Amino acid sequence: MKETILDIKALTLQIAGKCLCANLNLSITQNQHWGLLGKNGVGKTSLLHSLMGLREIDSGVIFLHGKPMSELPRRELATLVGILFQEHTHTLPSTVLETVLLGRHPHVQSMLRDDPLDLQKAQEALQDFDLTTIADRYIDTLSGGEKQRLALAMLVVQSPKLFLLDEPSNHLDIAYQIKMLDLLTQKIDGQNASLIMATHDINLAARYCDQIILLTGNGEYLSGPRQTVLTEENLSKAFSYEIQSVAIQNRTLFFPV
Amino acid sequence: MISSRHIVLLGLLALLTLASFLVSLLSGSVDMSLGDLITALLRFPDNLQAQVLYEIRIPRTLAAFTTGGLLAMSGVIMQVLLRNPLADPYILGISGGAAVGALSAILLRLGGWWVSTSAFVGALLSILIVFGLANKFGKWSVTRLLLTGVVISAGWGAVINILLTTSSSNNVQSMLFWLMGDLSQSSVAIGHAVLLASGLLIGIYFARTLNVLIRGELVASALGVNIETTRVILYFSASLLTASAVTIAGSVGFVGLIIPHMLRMLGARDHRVLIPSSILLGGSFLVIADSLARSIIAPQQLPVGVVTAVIGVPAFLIILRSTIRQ
Repeated sequence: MKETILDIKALTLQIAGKCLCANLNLSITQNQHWGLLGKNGVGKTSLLHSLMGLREIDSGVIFLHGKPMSELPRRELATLVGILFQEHTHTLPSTVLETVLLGRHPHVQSMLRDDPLDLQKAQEALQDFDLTTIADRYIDTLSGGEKQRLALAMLVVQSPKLFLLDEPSNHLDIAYQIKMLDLLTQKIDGQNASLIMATHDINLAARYCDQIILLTGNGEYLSGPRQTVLTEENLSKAFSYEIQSVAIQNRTLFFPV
Repeated sequence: MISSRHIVLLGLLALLTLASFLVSLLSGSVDMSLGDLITALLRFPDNLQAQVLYEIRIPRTLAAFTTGGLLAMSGVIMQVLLRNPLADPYILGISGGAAVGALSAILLRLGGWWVSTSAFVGALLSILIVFGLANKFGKWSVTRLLLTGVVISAGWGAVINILLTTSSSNNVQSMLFWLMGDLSQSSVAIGHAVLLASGLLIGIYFARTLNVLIRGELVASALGVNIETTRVILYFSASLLTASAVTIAGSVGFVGLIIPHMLRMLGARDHRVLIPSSILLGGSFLVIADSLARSIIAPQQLPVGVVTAVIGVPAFLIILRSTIRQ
């Protein structure tokens, strides 16, 4: 029996009077990959932020490993859930290696001493995400794609049980999108963790996710296995634009007409 | 991440601190050789040199070091709290409040104790006004805090100008010295030293949190930092450090802005290293600046704030240039 990682009961989210989610119920177990789809401004990022405890929820309860999230100390929460943000702040100088190491923050034991194991994990992540050669560079000198890979490496080093990814393919070229997501999902599966991935790329969600939540507006949503949610009809309705699919090489690809 | 390079840096800064103390204790209008200094320190002889040393130079050197340390550490915290490299200890109006307090005391021809006490009260008032206003209407954000601080600061500036333009020229001279930062009337009380030490402990305790916080509040929060408590503690710590510094020496400029950046350029980006380094470099920088302030045009003295700018600007530009080359 797979363990339930996240259990959302009757979640309601509003922003400036607009309803993003109404009575959302969702249960996520180990090793599941969920895709979060919906048109601009429908509430994908707000939902992810709520699941990270970064945003007040209007009603409902979010359980993590059976405990209500509101009762978990922030630090413990950060060992269970990690998030990839859409945007990154870089105001004061720091290097790539220093930044990846910050991912270990929720696990750090000593106030002053560095754990050699943390450094080792950081260096492995740099290697995995093709960042070793730029480990000593300042972040403000990196390209958009390099920054995105850095953020992914930081998240892997944090090693939560639930990975929340907000537009993970941002700034990545088509080859890196696949390489990095292959690698990331492989890491997530290796740790028996789960992921929720918010994306605009329906085909990317179809490729990596077995379960889909499709936010259809006005707080309504569809959720379930990929095959039942990702249909031409559902997608066309959700995006208010006609979307068709084509089967090719054992995949179903979606495209706007 | 702390490396052996950081240990070396801390060692060099400790040596610099020692050297700055020597320079400061040896310079002034009464001639003193290294031999005289050692004799006076070890045997307490009953002569002019020992008297000058114990009653004037040691207190003044300690005052300079403490002020510089407080300002530099406060600058480090303010820059992280506001995530703004241009932030300095005075940006949120603390020195403005302190100045209005101090200048009012000077206007009323009250003595030195009153000047520093009313400066501290003015600073506290400003700290509470800014905190209250930034929290009062809706959600706290860095931009709100910064804007509130800048506006309150401008308000104090207007009051300062009124005080300056309506005072007699005698008073204006002392007021200007206070505003530029001046150590000639300064003495350091045990309270300042306690505050510097507790600031250091709080800074070290929060060092890892500060490391995460420079990535922004959302990232810090997602990595397990309790933002609400952290920012309140950081705001009040940095503010009290500044308030304490301005009561010692008036608003000495520049130290709180450039010392943190100099150290970051020298590789001390981790706050476990940056916090203690900022005390050492900020402190010894001000000790050296003050030695110059009282010897360049001796027997007259310059306000130390003028000297910090005169040696700070080129020193900062040289370090900036050499790091860009790398």
